[in-house]
Amino acid sequence: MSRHGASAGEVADHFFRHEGAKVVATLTAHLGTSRLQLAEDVVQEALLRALQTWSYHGVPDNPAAWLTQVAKNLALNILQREQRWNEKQDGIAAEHARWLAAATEDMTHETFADDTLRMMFVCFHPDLASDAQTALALRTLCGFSPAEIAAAFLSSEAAIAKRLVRARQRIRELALPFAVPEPAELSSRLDGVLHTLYLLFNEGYKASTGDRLVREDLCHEAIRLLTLVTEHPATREPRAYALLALMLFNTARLRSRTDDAGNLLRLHEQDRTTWDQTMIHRGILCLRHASQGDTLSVYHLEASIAATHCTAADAPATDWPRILHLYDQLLALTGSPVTAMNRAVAVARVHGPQAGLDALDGIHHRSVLEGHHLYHAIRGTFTAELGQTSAAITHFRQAEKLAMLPAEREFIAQRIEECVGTKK
Amino acid sequence: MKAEPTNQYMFLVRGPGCSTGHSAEEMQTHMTEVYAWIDDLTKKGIFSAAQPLTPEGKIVSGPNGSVISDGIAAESKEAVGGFFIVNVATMDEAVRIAQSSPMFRNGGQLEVRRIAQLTCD
Repeated sequence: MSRHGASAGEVADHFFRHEGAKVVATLTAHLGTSRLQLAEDVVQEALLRALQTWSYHGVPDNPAAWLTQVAKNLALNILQREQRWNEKQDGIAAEHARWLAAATEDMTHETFADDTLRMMFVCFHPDLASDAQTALALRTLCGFSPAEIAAAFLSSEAAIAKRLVRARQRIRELALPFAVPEPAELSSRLDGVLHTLYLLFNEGYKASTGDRLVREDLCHEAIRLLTLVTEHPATREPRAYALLALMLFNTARLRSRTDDAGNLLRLHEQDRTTWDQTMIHRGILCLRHASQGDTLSVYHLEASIAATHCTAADAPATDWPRILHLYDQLLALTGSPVTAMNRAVAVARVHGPQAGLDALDGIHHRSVLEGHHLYHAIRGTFTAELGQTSAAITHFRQAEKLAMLPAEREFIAQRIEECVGTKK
Repeated sequence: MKAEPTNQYMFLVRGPGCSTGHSAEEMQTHMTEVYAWIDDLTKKGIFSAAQPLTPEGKIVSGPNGSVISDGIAAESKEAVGGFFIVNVATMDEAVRIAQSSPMFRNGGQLEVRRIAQLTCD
Protein backbone atom coordinates (compact mmCIF):
# COMPACT_ATOMS: atom_id res chain seq x y z
CA MET A 1 0.00 0.00 0.00
CA SER A 2 1.38 3.41 -0.90
CA ARG A 3 2.29 5.63 2.00
CA HIS A 4 1.59 9.33 1.97
CA GLY A 5 3.47 10.19 -1.16
CA ALA A 6 3.12 13.31 -3.22
CA SER A 7 0.34 12.03 -5.39
CA ALA A 8 -0.86 8.75 -3.95
CA GLY A 9 -4.29 10.27 -3.47
CA GLU A 10 -4.59 11.39 -7.03
CA VAL A 11 -6.37 8.86 -9.15
CA ALA A 12 -7.63 8.91 -12.68
CA ASP A 13 -10.82 10.79 -13.51
CA HIS A 14 -13.91 8.69 -12.72
CA PHE A 15 -11.68 6.05 -11.13
CA PHE A 16 -14.20 5.14 -8.41
CA ARG A 17 -16.97 4.92 -10.98
CA HIS A 18 -15.08 2.68 -13.33
CA GLU A 19 -13.42 0.46 -10.74
CA GLY A 20 -16.77 0.04 -8.98
CA ALA A 21 -18.44 -0.95 -12.25
CA LYS A 22 -15.71 -3.50 -12.95
CA VAL A 23 -16.26 -5.13 -9.57
CA VAL A 24 -20.05 -5.22 -10.14
CA ALA A 25 -19.35 -7.09 -13.38
CA THR A 26 -16.95 -9.51 -11.68
CA LEU A 27 -19.41 -10.28 -8.89
CA THR A 28 -22.26 -10.75 -11.36
CA ALA A 29 -20.07 -13.04 -13.44
CA HIS A 30 -19.78 -15.37 -10.44
CA LEU A 31 -23.10 -14.89 -8.65
CA GLY A 32 -25.37 -14.61 -11.67
CA THR A 33 -27.47 -11.80 -13.10
CA SER A 34 -30.24 -12.44 -10.55
CA ARG A 35 -27.83 -11.01 -7.97
CA LEU A 36 -27.18 -7.75 -9.77
CA GLN A 37 -28.79 -5.70 -7.02
CA LEU A 38 -26.68 -7.39 -4.36
CA ALA A 39 -23.54 -6.81 -6.43
CA GLU A 40 -24.32 -3.12 -6.78
CA ASP A 41 -25.12 -2.71 -3.09
CA VAL A 42 -21.95 -4.33 -1.83
CA VAL A 43 -19.79 -2.46 -4.33
CA GLN A 44 -21.31 0.83 -3.15
CA GLU A 45 -20.42 -0.15 0.42
CA ALA A 46 -16.93 -1.25 -0.65
CA LEU A 47 -16.35 2.13 -2.30
CA LEU A 48 -17.38 3.82 0.93
CA ARG A 49 -14.85 1.75 2.86
CA ALA A 50 -12.22 2.50 0.26
CA LEU A 51 -12.91 6.17 0.73
CA GLN A 52 -12.43 5.84 4.49
CA THR A 53 -9.20 3.89 4.27
CA TRP A 54 -7.63 5.42 1.19
CA SER A 55 -8.15 8.94 2.48
CA TYR A 56 -5.70 8.09 5.25
CA HIS A 57 -3.25 5.86 3.45
CA GLY A 58 -3.42 6.55 -0.23
CA VAL A 59 -4.66 4.26 -2.93
CA PRO A 60 -3.34 0.69 -2.78
CA ASP A 61 -1.24 -0.71 -5.60
CA ASN A 62 -4.05 -2.87 -6.85
CA PRO A 63 -7.20 -0.96 -5.99
CA ALA A 64 -9.47 -3.20 -8.07
CA ALA A 65 -8.36 -6.28 -6.13
CA TRP A 66 -8.82 -4.39 -2.86
CA LEU A 67 -12.36 -3.37 -3.80
CA THR A 68 -13.18 -6.84 -5.10
CA GLN A 69 -12.01 -8.45 -1.86
CA VAL A 70 -14.01 -6.09 0.34
CA ALA A 71 -17.10 -6.47 -1.87
CA LYS A 72 -16.76 -10.27 -1.79
CA ASN A 73 -16.54 -10.28 2.00
CA LEU A 74 -19.64 -8.12 2.26
CA ALA A 75 -21.52 -10.32 -0.22
CA LEU A 76 -20.54 -13.45 1.68
CA ASN A 77 -21.86 -11.96 4.92
CA ILE A 78 -25.19 -11.14 3.31
CA LEU A 79 -25.57 -14.51 1.61
CA GLN A 80 -24.68 -16.40 4.77
CA ARG A 81 -27.44 -14.57 6.57
CA GLU A 82 -29.95 -15.79 4.03
CA GLN A 83 -31.86 -18.85 5.17
CA ARG A 84 -31.55 -20.94 2.06
CA TRP A 85 -27.83 -20.45 2.03
CA ASN A 86 -27.52 -23.05 4.79
CA GLU A 87 -29.36 -25.76 2.93
CA LYS A 88 -26.70 -28.24 2.04
CA GLN A 89 -28.27 -29.37 -1.20
CA ASP A 90 -27.91 -25.94 -2.71
CA GLY A 91 -24.81 -26.63 -4.72
CA ILE A 92 -24.84 -23.29 -6.47
CA ALA A 93 -24.90 -21.42 -3.19
CA ALA A 94 -22.00 -23.50 -1.91
CA GLU A 95 -20.03 -22.74 -5.04
CA HIS A 96 -20.72 -19.03 -4.64
CA ALA A 97 -19.60 -19.22 -1.03
CA ARG A 98 -16.35 -20.91 -2.02
CA TRP A 99 -15.59 -18.20 -4.57
CA LEU A 100 -16.52 -15.39 -2.22
CA ALA A 101 -14.39 -16.83 0.59
CA ALA A 102 -11.38 -17.42 -1.65
CA ALA A 103 -8.60 -14.88 -1.90
CA THR A 104 -8.98 -12.51 -4.81
CA GLU A 105 -6.71 -13.41 -7.63
CA ASP A 106 -5.08 -10.59 -9.56
CA MET A 107 -7.39 -9.62 -12.33
CA THR A 108 -6.10 -8.66 -15.70
CA HIS A 109 -7.49 -5.99 -17.96
CA GLU A 110 -8.70 -8.83 -20.22
CA THR A 111 -10.76 -10.43 -17.45
CA PHE A 112 -12.41 -7.14 -16.58
CA ALA A 113 -12.96 -6.26 -20.22
CA ASP A 114 -14.49 -9.68 -20.80
CA ASP A 115 -16.82 -9.32 -17.81
CA THR A 116 -17.79 -5.82 -18.87
CA LEU A 117 -18.60 -6.96 -22.38
CA ARG A 118 -20.80 -9.75 -21.05
CA MET A 119 -22.47 -7.21 -18.75
CA MET A 120 -23.21 -5.11 -21.83
CA PHE A 121 -25.07 -8.02 -23.38
CA VAL A 122 -27.16 -8.26 -20.21
CA CYS A 123 -27.91 -4.53 -19.92
CA PHE A 124 -28.62 -4.17 -23.63
CA HIS A 125 -30.82 -7.22 -23.93
CA PRO A 126 -33.61 -6.72 -26.49
CA ASP A 127 -36.24 -7.82 -23.93
CA LEU A 128 -35.47 -4.75 -21.83
CA ALA A 129 -37.07 -1.42 -22.71
CA SER A 130 -34.82 1.09 -24.38
CA ASP A 131 -34.93 3.60 -21.52
CA ALA A 132 -34.20 0.78 -19.06
CA GLN A 133 -31.16 -0.17 -21.13
CA THR A 134 -29.63 3.28 -21.09
CA ALA A 135 -30.32 3.78 -17.38
CA LEU A 136 -28.81 0.37 -16.58
CA ALA A 137 -25.79 1.15 -18.73
CA LEU A 138 -25.08 4.30 -16.77
CA ARG A 139 -25.72 2.68 -13.39
CA THR A 140 -24.16 -0.72 -13.86
CA LEU A 141 -21.55 -0.26 -16.57
CA CYS A 142 -20.51 3.30 -15.80
CA GLY A 143 -21.10 3.65 -12.03
CA PHE A 144 -23.40 6.69 -12.15
CA SER A 145 -25.75 7.29 -9.22
CA PRO A 146 -29.51 7.53 -9.87
CA ALA A 147 -29.24 11.29 -9.23
CA GLU A 148 -26.52 11.62 -11.84
CA ILE A 149 -28.51 9.58 -14.35
CA ALA A 150 -31.54 11.77 -13.64
CA ALA A 151 -29.42 14.85 -14.38
CA ALA A 152 -28.29 13.34 -17.67
CA PHE A 153 -31.79 12.37 -18.80
CA LEU A 154 -33.55 15.40 -17.30
CA SER A 155 -35.63 13.07 -15.17
CA SER A 156 -36.18 12.74 -11.44
CA GLU A 157 -34.02 10.64 -9.18
CA ALA A 158 -37.06 8.71 -7.94
CA ALA A 159 -38.15 7.90 -11.49
CA ILE A 160 -34.68 6.64 -12.40
CA ALA A 161 -34.42 4.59 -9.22
CA LYS A 162 -37.76 2.97 -10.01
CA ARG A 163 -36.70 2.29 -13.59
CA LEU A 164 -33.53 0.59 -12.34
CA VAL A 165 -35.37 -1.59 -9.83
CA ARG A 166 -37.80 -2.72 -12.54
CA ALA A 167 -34.98 -3.42 -14.95
CA ARG A 168 -33.10 -5.59 -12.45
CA GLN A 169 -36.33 -7.39 -11.64
CA ARG A 170 -36.90 -8.03 -15.33
CA ILE A 171 -33.37 -9.40 -15.68
CA ARG A 172 -34.13 -11.79 -12.83
CA GLU A 173 -37.46 -12.86 -14.31
CA LEU A 174 -35.93 -13.48 -17.71
CA ALA A 175 -32.96 -15.22 -16.08
CA LEU A 176 -30.68 -13.49 -18.56
CA PRO A 177 -27.39 -15.31 -18.98
CA PHE A 178 -24.17 -13.48 -18.21
CA ALA A 179 -22.61 -14.36 -21.50
CA VAL A 180 -21.60 -13.23 -24.94
CA PRO A 181 -24.40 -14.60 -27.17
CA GLU A 182 -23.91 -17.71 -29.29
CA PRO A 183 -22.59 -17.10 -32.82
CA ALA A 184 -26.06 -17.64 -34.31
CA GLU A 185 -27.53 -14.60 -32.57
CA LEU A 186 -24.34 -12.63 -31.94
CA SER A 187 -24.72 -10.41 -34.97
CA SER A 188 -28.23 -9.19 -34.17
CA ARG A 189 -27.42 -8.83 -30.47
CA LEU A 190 -24.33 -6.81 -31.35
CA ASP A 191 -26.56 -4.54 -33.43
CA GLY A 192 -28.63 -3.97 -30.30
CA VAL A 193 -25.54 -3.15 -28.24
CA LEU A 194 -24.29 -0.72 -30.87
CA HIS A 195 -27.68 0.92 -31.20
CA THR A 196 -28.00 1.52 -27.45
CA LEU A 197 -24.48 2.90 -27.25
CA TYR A 198 -25.42 5.16 -30.15
CA LEU A 199 -28.50 6.36 -28.21
CA LEU A 200 -26.41 6.88 -25.08
CA PHE A 201 -23.91 8.89 -27.06
CA ASN A 202 -26.58 11.00 -28.73
CA GLU A 203 -28.18 11.71 -25.36
CA GLY A 204 -24.90 13.39 -24.44
CA TYR A 205 -24.21 14.87 -27.85
CA LYS A 206 -27.53 16.52 -28.57
CA ALA A 207 -27.60 20.21 -27.77
CA SER A 208 -30.05 19.81 -24.93
CA THR A 209 -30.34 21.69 -21.72
CA GLY A 210 -28.76 20.30 -18.62
CA ASP A 211 -25.23 20.20 -17.33
CA ARG A 212 -22.66 20.33 -20.11
CA LEU A 213 -20.13 18.26 -18.16
CA VAL A 214 -22.71 15.55 -17.49
CA ARG A 215 -23.47 15.38 -21.21
CA GLU A 216 -19.78 15.21 -22.12
CA ASP A 217 -19.49 12.37 -19.62
CA LEU A 218 -22.13 10.41 -21.52
CA CYS A 219 -20.20 10.78 -24.76
CA HIS A 220 -16.97 9.66 -23.14
CA GLU A 221 -18.65 6.70 -21.44
CA ALA A 222 -20.18 5.54 -24.72
CA ILE A 223 -16.71 5.75 -26.30
CA ARG A 224 -15.16 3.83 -23.41
CA LEU A 225 -17.68 0.99 -23.64
CA LEU A 226 -17.57 0.83 -27.41
CA THR A 227 -13.78 0.71 -27.27
CA LEU A 228 -14.12 -2.47 -25.19
CA VAL A 229 -16.46 -3.89 -27.85
CA THR A 230 -13.87 -3.23 -30.57
CA GLU A 231 -11.12 -4.81 -28.49
CA HIS A 232 -12.90 -8.09 -27.95
CA PRO A 233 -12.33 -10.84 -30.52
CA ALA A 234 -16.02 -11.83 -30.54
CA THR A 235 -17.32 -8.35 -31.29
CA ARG A 236 -14.48 -6.70 -33.18
CA GLU A 237 -16.70 -5.99 -36.18
CA PRO A 238 -16.17 -3.30 -38.84
CA ARG A 239 -19.48 -1.62 -37.97
CA ALA A 240 -18.44 -1.34 -34.30
CA TYR A 241 -15.27 0.44 -35.42
CA ALA A 242 -17.34 2.65 -37.71
CA LEU A 243 -19.61 3.72 -34.86
CA LEU A 244 -16.58 4.36 -32.65
CA ALA A 245 -15.08 6.52 -35.39
CA LEU A 246 -18.32 8.50 -35.61
CA MET A 247 -18.37 9.09 -31.84
CA LEU A 248 -14.73 10.17 -31.84
CA PHE A 249 -15.21 12.65 -34.70
CA ASN A 250 -18.25 14.18 -33.03
CA THR A 251 -16.70 14.31 -29.56
CA ALA A 252 -13.59 15.98 -30.97
CA ARG A 253 -15.81 18.90 -31.99
CA LEU A 254 -18.10 18.86 -28.94
CA ARG A 255 -16.78 21.95 -27.19
CA SER A 256 -16.61 24.11 -30.28
CA ARG A 257 -20.34 23.75 -30.98
CA THR A 258 -21.28 26.53 -28.56
CA ASP A 259 -19.64 29.83 -27.65
CA ASP A 260 -18.88 30.85 -24.06
CA ALA A 261 -22.42 32.12 -23.61
CA GLY A 262 -23.88 28.76 -24.69
CA ASN A 263 -25.02 29.95 -28.13
CA LEU A 264 -25.01 27.35 -30.89
CA LEU A 265 -22.37 27.88 -33.55
CA ARG A 266 -22.65 26.72 -37.15
CA LEU A 267 -19.85 24.67 -38.61
CA HIS A 268 -18.27 27.62 -40.41
CA GLU A 269 -18.42 29.71 -37.22
CA GLN A 270 -16.61 27.14 -35.07
CA ASP A 271 -13.01 27.61 -34.03
CA ARG A 272 -11.35 24.62 -35.66
CA THR A 273 -8.18 25.02 -33.60
CA THR A 274 -10.18 23.78 -30.60
CA TRP A 275 -11.04 20.49 -32.29
CA ASP A 276 -9.33 17.61 -30.54
CA GLN A 277 -6.82 16.38 -33.08
CA THR A 278 -5.83 13.31 -31.06
CA MET A 279 -9.43 12.17 -31.10
CA ILE A 280 -9.79 12.91 -34.81
CA HIS A 281 -6.65 10.89 -35.48
CA ARG A 282 -8.03 7.99 -33.44
CA GLY A 283 -11.26 8.30 -35.41
CA ILE A 284 -9.40 8.01 -38.68
CA LEU A 285 -7.62 4.87 -37.46
CA CYS A 286 -10.97 3.36 -36.44
CA LEU A 287 -12.48 4.21 -39.80
CA ARG A 288 -9.56 2.39 -41.43
CA HIS A 289 -10.32 -0.70 -39.29
CA ALA A 290 -13.98 -0.30 -40.22
CA SER A 291 -13.21 -0.45 -43.91
CA GLN A 292 -11.85 -3.99 -43.61
CA GLY A 293 -14.61 -6.28 -44.71
CA ASP A 294 -17.39 -5.82 -47.23
CA THR A 295 -20.17 -4.39 -45.07
CA LEU A 296 -21.28 -0.81 -45.41
CA SER A 297 -23.38 0.18 -42.41
CA VAL A 298 -25.17 3.40 -41.59
CA TYR A 299 -22.35 4.00 -39.08
CA HIS A 300 -19.76 3.75 -41.86
CA LEU A 301 -21.50 6.46 -43.86
CA GLU A 302 -22.19 8.75 -40.92
CA ALA A 303 -18.59 8.39 -39.75
CA SER A 304 -17.30 9.14 -43.25
CA ILE A 305 -19.40 12.30 -43.39
CA ALA A 306 -18.08 13.38 -39.99
CA ALA A 307 -14.53 12.54 -41.10
CA THR A 308 -14.90 14.75 -44.16
CA HIS A 309 -15.87 17.69 -41.95
CA CYS A 310 -13.12 16.97 -39.45
CA THR A 311 -10.34 16.80 -42.00
CA ALA A 312 -11.25 19.97 -43.92
CA ALA A 313 -8.64 22.66 -43.32
CA ASP A 314 -11.38 25.29 -43.07
CA ALA A 315 -15.09 25.56 -43.84
CA PRO A 316 -14.69 26.61 -47.52
CA ALA A 317 -12.32 23.66 -48.07
CA THR A 318 -15.07 21.16 -47.09
CA ASP A 319 -15.45 18.49 -49.74
CA TRP A 320 -19.21 18.90 -50.21
CA PRO A 321 -19.44 16.73 -53.36
CA ARG A 322 -18.02 13.84 -51.33
CA ILE A 323 -20.44 14.55 -48.48
CA LEU A 324 -23.34 14.62 -50.94
CA HIS A 325 -22.23 11.30 -52.40
CA LEU A 326 -22.13 9.80 -48.90
CA TYR A 327 -25.60 11.17 -48.14
CA ASP A 328 -26.89 9.60 -51.37
CA GLN A 329 -25.67 6.22 -50.11
CA LEU A 330 -26.99 6.86 -46.60
CA LEU A 331 -30.41 7.78 -47.94
CA ALA A 332 -30.47 4.62 -50.04
CA LEU A 333 -29.80 2.63 -46.84
CA THR A 334 -32.14 4.36 -44.39
CA GLY A 335 -34.79 5.95 -46.60
CA SER A 336 -35.42 8.24 -43.66
CA PRO A 337 -36.90 11.72 -44.18
CA VAL A 338 -34.41 13.15 -41.66
CA THR A 339 -31.51 11.76 -43.71
CA ALA A 340 -33.11 13.26 -46.81
CA MET A 341 -33.37 16.61 -45.04
CA ASN A 342 -29.69 16.57 -44.11
CA ARG A 343 -28.84 15.51 -47.63
CA ALA A 344 -30.64 18.60 -48.94
CA VAL A 345 -28.10 20.76 -47.10
CA ALA A 346 -25.29 19.00 -48.97
CA VAL A 347 -27.24 19.44 -52.23
CA ALA A 348 -27.46 23.19 -51.58
CA ARG A 349 -23.73 23.40 -50.87
CA VAL A 350 -22.90 21.65 -54.14
CA HIS A 351 -25.64 22.86 -56.49
CA GLY A 352 -26.92 26.04 -54.84
CA PRO A 353 -29.89 26.94 -52.60
CA GLN A 354 -32.58 26.44 -55.25
CA ALA A 355 -31.41 22.83 -55.75
CA GLY A 356 -31.52 22.48 -51.96
CA LEU A 357 -35.14 23.65 -51.87
CA ASP A 358 -36.03 21.30 -54.71
CA ALA A 359 -34.43 18.45 -52.80
CA LEU A 360 -36.53 19.33 -49.75
CA ASP A 361 -39.68 19.42 -51.89
CA GLY A 362 -38.86 16.02 -53.31
CA ILE A 363 -38.66 14.25 -49.94
CA HIS A 364 -41.09 11.35 -49.54
CA HIS A 365 -43.13 11.53 -46.36
CA ARG A 366 -42.15 15.19 -46.01
CA SER A 367 -45.07 15.67 -43.62
CA VAL A 368 -43.15 14.05 -40.75
CA LEU A 369 -40.58 16.84 -41.05
CA GLU A 370 -43.15 19.61 -40.77
CA GLY A 371 -43.08 19.41 -36.98
CA HIS A 372 -39.28 19.55 -36.87
CA HIS A 373 -37.80 23.02 -36.30
CA LEU A 374 -34.67 22.18 -38.30
CA TYR A 375 -36.72 21.57 -41.44
CA HIS A 376 -38.09 25.11 -41.34
CA ALA A 377 -34.73 26.58 -40.34
CA ILE A 378 -33.08 24.88 -43.32
CA ARG A 379 -35.84 26.15 -45.64
CA GLY A 380 -35.34 29.60 -44.18
CA THR A 381 -31.60 29.44 -44.82
CA PHE A 382 -32.08 28.41 -48.46
CA THR A 383 -34.69 31.09 -49.17
CA ALA A 384 -32.56 33.73 -47.44
CA GLU A 385 -29.63 32.73 -49.66
CA LEU A 386 -31.90 33.19 -52.66
CA GLY A 387 -32.62 36.72 -51.45
CA GLN A 388 -36.28 35.96 -50.65
CA THR A 389 -36.04 37.64 -47.28
CA SER A 390 -39.73 37.83 -46.39
CA ALA A 391 -40.28 34.15 -47.14
CA ALA A 392 -37.14 33.31 -45.14
CA ILE A 393 -38.45 35.21 -42.12
CA THR A 394 -41.73 33.26 -42.31
CA HIS A 395 -39.83 29.96 -42.31
CA PHE A 396 -37.59 31.00 -39.45
CA ARG A 397 -40.59 32.18 -37.40
CA GLN A 398 -42.14 28.74 -37.88
CA ALA A 399 -38.85 27.13 -36.80
CA GLU A 400 -38.72 29.39 -33.74
CA LYS A 401 -42.21 28.26 -32.77
CA LEU A 402 -41.26 24.58 -32.99
CA ALA A 403 -37.82 24.75 -31.32
CA MET A 404 -37.88 23.10 -27.91
CA LEU A 405 -34.69 24.46 -26.39
CA PRO A 406 -33.73 28.02 -25.48
CA ALA A 407 -30.36 27.72 -27.28
CA GLU A 408 -32.16 26.65 -30.47
CA ARG A 409 -34.68 29.50 -30.24
CA GLU A 410 -31.87 31.97 -29.63
CA PHE A 411 -30.05 30.64 -32.68
CA ILE A 412 -33.10 31.05 -34.90
CA ALA A 413 -33.85 34.51 -33.49
CA GLN A 414 -30.39 35.54 -34.68
CA ARG A 415 -31.15 34.29 -38.19
CA ILE A 416 -34.36 36.34 -38.20
CA GLU A 417 -32.43 39.41 -37.11
CA GLU A 418 -29.97 38.89 -39.96
CA CYS A 419 -32.88 38.72 -42.41
CA VAL A 420 -34.46 41.88 -41.02
CA GLY A 421 -31.01 43.51 -41.30
CA THR A 422 -30.71 42.73 -45.03
CA LYS A 423 -34.23 43.96 -45.67
CA LYS A 424 -33.49 47.45 -44.36
CA MET B 1 3.03 9.39 37.48
CA LYS B 2 1.58 12.51 35.91
CA ALA B 3 0.33 13.57 32.54
CA GLU B 4 2.38 16.25 30.77
CA PRO B 5 1.06 17.97 27.68
CA THR B 6 2.95 17.32 24.46
CA ASN B 7 3.14 19.39 21.30
CA GLN B 8 0.84 16.95 19.57
CA TYR B 9 -2.88 17.12 19.05
CA MET B 10 -5.24 14.40 18.01
CA PHE B 11 -8.28 14.88 15.80
CA LEU B 12 -10.92 12.26 16.38
CA VAL B 13 -12.99 11.99 13.22
CA ARG B 14 -16.67 11.50 13.95
CA GLY B 15 -19.63 11.02 11.67
CA PRO B 16 -19.75 9.64 8.18
CA GLY B 17 -17.45 11.25 5.67
CA CYS B 18 -19.82 10.10 2.99
CA SER B 19 -22.80 7.79 3.03
CA THR B 20 -24.00 5.10 0.69
CA GLY B 21 -26.28 7.76 -0.76
CA HIS B 22 -23.28 9.48 -2.31
CA SER B 23 -22.25 8.64 -5.82
CA ALA B 24 -18.92 7.07 -6.69
CA GLU B 25 -17.92 10.36 -8.23
CA GLU B 26 -18.73 12.30 -5.05
CA MET B 27 -16.78 9.80 -2.97
CA GLN B 28 -13.78 10.18 -5.22
CA THR B 29 -13.96 13.97 -4.97
CA HIS B 30 -14.09 13.74 -1.19
CA MET B 31 -11.13 11.37 -1.05
CA THR B 32 -9.07 13.61 -3.29
CA GLU B 33 -9.79 16.59 -1.04
CA VAL B 34 -8.90 14.73 2.15
CA TYR B 35 -5.73 13.52 0.55
CA ALA B 36 -4.73 16.97 -0.65
CA TRP B 37 -5.24 18.26 2.88
CA ILE B 38 -3.00 15.55 4.35
CA ASP B 39 -0.45 16.17 1.64
CA ASP B 40 -0.28 19.84 2.49
CA LEU B 41 0.15 19.13 6.22
CA THR B 42 2.87 16.59 5.44
CA LYS B 43 4.79 19.12 3.36
CA LYS B 44 4.60 21.64 6.21
CA GLY B 45 5.87 19.03 8.67
CA ILE B 46 2.64 19.27 10.67
CA PHE B 47 1.29 15.82 9.87
CA SER B 48 2.41 13.09 12.25
CA ALA B 49 0.13 10.07 11.86
CA ALA B 50 -3.34 8.95 10.88
CA GLN B 51 -5.32 5.75 10.94
CA PRO B 52 -8.81 4.87 9.88
CA LEU B 53 -10.91 2.44 11.92
CA THR B 54 -13.00 -0.27 10.34
CA PRO B 55 -16.72 0.25 10.92
CA GLU B 56 -17.39 -2.94 12.87
CA GLY B 57 -16.95 -2.73 16.62
CA LYS B 58 -18.20 -3.97 19.98
CA ILE B 59 -18.87 -2.11 23.18
CA VAL B 60 -17.80 -3.90 26.31
CA SER B 61 -19.26 -2.59 29.57
CA GLY B 62 -20.91 -3.57 32.83
CA PRO B 63 -19.41 -5.40 35.80
CA ASN B 64 -16.20 -7.15 34.71
CA GLY B 65 -17.03 -6.21 31.17
CA SER B 66 -19.82 -8.70 31.11
CA VAL B 67 -22.07 -6.70 28.77
CA ILE B 68 -21.03 -6.91 25.17
CA SER B 69 -23.06 -4.99 22.66
CA ASP B 70 -22.71 -3.94 19.06
CA GLY B 71 -20.63 -0.89 18.41
CA ILE B 72 -22.04 2.40 17.28
CA ALA B 73 -23.47 2.12 13.79
CA ALA B 74 -21.05 3.45 11.17
CA GLU B 75 -23.67 5.81 9.80
CA SER B 76 -24.18 7.46 13.18
CA LYS B 77 -22.86 10.91 13.98
CA GLU B 78 -21.05 9.56 17.05
CA ALA B 79 -19.13 6.81 15.27
CA VAL B 80 -15.36 7.39 15.29
CA GLY B 81 -14.01 6.75 11.81
CA GLY B 82 -10.34 7.36 12.52
CA PHE B 83 -7.83 9.82 13.91
CA PHE B 84 -5.13 12.23 12.87
CA ILE B 85 -2.14 13.37 14.93
CA VAL B 86 -0.62 16.75 14.11
CA ASN B 87 2.48 18.49 15.46
CA VAL B 88 1.41 21.90 16.72
CA ALA B 89 2.06 23.77 19.94
CA THR B 90 -1.28 25.36 20.78
CA MET B 91 -4.95 24.51 20.81
CA ASP B 92 -5.66 27.58 18.69
CA GLU B 93 -3.37 26.33 15.98
CA ALA B 94 -4.79 22.82 16.19
CA VAL B 95 -8.33 24.17 15.79
CA ARG B 96 -7.26 26.28 12.83
CA ILE B 97 -5.83 23.21 11.12
CA ALA B 98 -8.93 21.18 11.91
CA GLN B 99 -11.00 23.92 10.30
CA SER B 100 -8.94 23.67 7.14
CA SER B 101 -9.93 20.02 6.69
CA PRO B 102 -12.58 18.92 4.19
CA MET B 103 -14.31 16.72 6.79
CA PHE B 104 -17.32 18.91 7.40
CA ARG B 105 -19.15 18.88 4.11
CA ASN B 106 -21.06 15.70 4.81
CA GLY B 107 -21.80 16.36 8.45
CA GLY B 108 -18.52 15.14 9.90
CA GLN B 109 -17.03 16.40 13.18
CA LEU B 110 -13.50 16.66 14.46
CA GLU B 111 -12.84 16.49 18.17
CA VAL B 112 -9.52 18.22 18.88
CA ARG B 113 -7.61 16.93 21.93
CA ARG B 114 -4.08 17.51 23.14
CA ILE B 115 -2.08 14.34 23.58
CA ALA B 116 -0.66 13.84 27.03
CA GLN B 117 2.51 12.04 27.92
CA LEU B 118 2.81 10.06 31.13
CA THR B 119 5.96 10.82 33.05
CA CYS B 120 7.20 9.21 36.25
CA ASP B 121 8.80 12.20 37.96
